[in-house]
Amino acid sequence: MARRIASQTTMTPAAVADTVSFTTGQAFAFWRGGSTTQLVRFWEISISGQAASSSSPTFMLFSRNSLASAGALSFTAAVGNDSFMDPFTAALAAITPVGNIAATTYPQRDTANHLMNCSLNAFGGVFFWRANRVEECPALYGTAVTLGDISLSCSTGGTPGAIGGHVIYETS
Amino acid sequence: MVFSKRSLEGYVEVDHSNSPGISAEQAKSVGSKLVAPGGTVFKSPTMMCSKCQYTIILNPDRSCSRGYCRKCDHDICDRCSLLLKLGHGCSSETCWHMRLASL
Repeated sequence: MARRIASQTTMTPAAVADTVSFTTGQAFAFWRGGSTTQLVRFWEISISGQAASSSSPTFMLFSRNSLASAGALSFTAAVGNDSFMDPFTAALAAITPVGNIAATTYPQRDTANHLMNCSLNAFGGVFFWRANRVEECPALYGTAVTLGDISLSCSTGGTPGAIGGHVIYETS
Repeated sequence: MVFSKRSLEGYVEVDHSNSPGISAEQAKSVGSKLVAPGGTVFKSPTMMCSKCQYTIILNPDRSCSRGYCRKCDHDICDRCSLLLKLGHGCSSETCWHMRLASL
């Protein structure tokens, strides 16, 4: 078990419809299983609005993907990062790929498997969710389409504004 | 230490106290029932239904009682509460907590 924190200092998500491929930096992050048997549970999502001047309804969706990402995943350097939660965490045999830049293929959000609606107004709004027990955590397993690929991204219909935040997840 | 079922609850918060917020119409447009208009804060515990494992956001303004399964001693969602009344009780096949207990 190893808990890690993926965070973004500031980014403006792009409104992307379901089943449309993301491009560089549009989503908050994607996660994919580090191996065909890796289980990743999500414990906490925190998003804070950072829009400076006008109402910015930002319809963030935590969702499974209908097209899995491929290749290495990464964040924009110095803006997004992924770090261990406990300094004594042992190195994982298979690191969980996370980031909002895909080296080969970008994922697409699934229409039928939205897990959580994390909508907020990025002009002064805050969204926070935390699971209490392991069975409350949404999870991904392996690397297959839908089961093994999850994204936190912005859906269409609003006017996305700048946000910052973090996601705590646990790999086992 | 006294056990409380409240220790099993998760937590969700949408703080629009200093924000224009998201109106009911805007929330509905993306299929969300979690409405927090401008100037309001929504804070609520969450619970997991024993039977269907949906995470339920507890409505702080709810006045009617919630479903409860005496067999597994856990709260359940409205949909499963109806099923319980129709005779579909918890078993190790259908209930998360009973399945855990049987391991």
